[in-house]
Amino acid sequence: MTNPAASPTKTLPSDAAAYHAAMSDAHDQNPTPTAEPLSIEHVRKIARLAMLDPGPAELESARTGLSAVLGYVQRLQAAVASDDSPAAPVEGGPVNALRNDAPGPTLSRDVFLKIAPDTGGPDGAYLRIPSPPGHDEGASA
Amino acid sequence: MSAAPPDMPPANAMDLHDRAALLASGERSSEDLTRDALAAADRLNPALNAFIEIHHDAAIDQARASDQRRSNGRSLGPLDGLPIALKDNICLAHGRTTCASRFLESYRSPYTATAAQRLIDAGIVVVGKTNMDEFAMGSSTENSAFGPTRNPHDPSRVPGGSSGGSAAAVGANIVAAALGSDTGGSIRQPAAFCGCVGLKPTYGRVSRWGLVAYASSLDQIGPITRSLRDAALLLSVIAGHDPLDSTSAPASVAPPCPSHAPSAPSTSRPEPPTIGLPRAIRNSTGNHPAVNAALESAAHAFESAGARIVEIDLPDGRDAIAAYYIIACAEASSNLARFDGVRYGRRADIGPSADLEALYRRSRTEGFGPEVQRRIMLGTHVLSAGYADRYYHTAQRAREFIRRAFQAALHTCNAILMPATPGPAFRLAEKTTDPLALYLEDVYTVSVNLAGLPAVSVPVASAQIDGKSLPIGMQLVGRPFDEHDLLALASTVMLRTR
Repeated sequence: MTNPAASPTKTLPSDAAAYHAAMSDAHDQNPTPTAEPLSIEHVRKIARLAMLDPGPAELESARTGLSAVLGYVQRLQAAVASDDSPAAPVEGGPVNALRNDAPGPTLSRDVFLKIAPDTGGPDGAYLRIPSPPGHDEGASA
Repeated sequence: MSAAPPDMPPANAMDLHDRAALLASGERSSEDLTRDALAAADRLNPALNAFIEIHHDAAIDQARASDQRRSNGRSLGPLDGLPIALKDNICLAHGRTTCASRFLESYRSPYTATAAQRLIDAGIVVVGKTNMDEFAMGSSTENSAFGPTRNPHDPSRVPGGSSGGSAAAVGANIVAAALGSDTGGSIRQPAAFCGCVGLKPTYGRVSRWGLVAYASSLDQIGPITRSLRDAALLLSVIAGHDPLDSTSAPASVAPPCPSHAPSAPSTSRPEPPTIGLPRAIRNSTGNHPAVNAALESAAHAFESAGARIVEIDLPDGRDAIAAYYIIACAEASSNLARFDGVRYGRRADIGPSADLEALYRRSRTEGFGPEVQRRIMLGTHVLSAGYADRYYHTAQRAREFIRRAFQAALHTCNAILMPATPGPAFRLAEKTTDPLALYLEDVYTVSVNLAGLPAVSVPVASAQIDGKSLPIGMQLVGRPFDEHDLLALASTVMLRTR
């Protein structure tokens, strides 16, 4: 593991200013392979998939930020391509355990209804939601 | 109750063990210690913003119950009556659990997280919930819907993150200990910035049940303390198998030891330990000079104690950053899909004609802050059709590569020594406009989460900057489920460098 600004040709900075310069330098001069900048249309599509609805300014900000990060992570392609070790998982890693598919103790429905933003129906025993897209009967419970 | 004797530090500067001794001797009551902590929180929180919520009445009730147990000879153990704080992504069936998000600003959890419940069962007093980066996404505690936390050593600087409120509360001596969570360094980095001990346990060691999920394959709860012995004690209480967490380590895994002797490793083991020092990190120009100096001092401390230092090679930390942000954001996009404005949390006011999808979109857009939205979108993108192979599956391969490299290194050495951070705490707003610059702050911590290993950050030095003394932390990475040995080794470097 190396530091973001590690470079064998540079000397150790003697003060904090040099450190900050080295960090900036690393950011500028260690360019990682860049991806094509994302288009606004593509970011809008991602936002739609993520159930988000950013405005124009937020969309542009997201485009810039995502493009920068995705450009940076391109470096992984080269790193992984140079790895010729077997793909088998290492020993001792976490193992996902599955519980028996059987009912067990749980909190009561009332507990969960109490923290719901809106409830309705007989005795307020249901979550109240708007109509799903394509239905126009108004709010349903 | 009387005050501490003149030759002892004031109670608020003591660690948990010191405070437990005061309780055991009868010099102080739990109510005394709790009132001290609450008074310190009230006094310092306006400047630090370390707490999102302070539990005045409940804490006093818990303290009085502890004092009653003690007077009846039914103390629950060494933690009984000691005040601590919890990061606000750890569910507690009292008060709010907000994750520092507008989405959950009014959310009251109907249950308590396993780790918190184990502490409560041991008698601890919860004085409050601490500030954090929203949903634990950040390295500075600036991404909080309730405003940034400030570093107690220099309020113009960040405390680190995402467990910045917990680290600031311990660093400011408001409490002796707090729980945090660590997905990519969120315990170790703020502990380093605030001069505390921060322990990220082995993945699976501590139950994640009741920890609001960010990236489930990486998240782990751990202690932030003033001493290694406190970290060992808290870990021994919160660790252990939990059937409610599907990746909890099985009960057959050896439990962590509640204490360790802070002795030199050469006298406590048959063979002197070997400490690995990553070659590329040594004297790196990317490190602040004080960090490089502290790394050399720590290595020298180990050698003085009889350890052998060997240089090792590990994967490039910049690759680990790339893999980490793909995997963590992919998992976040899935985990945070549950926040939809229907079952709990914020619901947007969308008017009578809007449909269910509009409710989802508006609730999430209004409830999540910019960094959370950015990470959700990044995760959605890397999992989407046509991109999963290029990003997500590549990152998983890189993760296995990193895990194998650490496993191989730890076959040749007992622990790996490296900085917790490239530099001391940075200024507020210094990195808020450049997410990539902030992500690179995690260069020494994320690999450990990807590998699932235990690691501890210990304060070893300080840097004099702008007339302030800023803590520098070193990190020791250990073998899986061997936190006992890790903490014993860390005590060597902490004792000999301070």
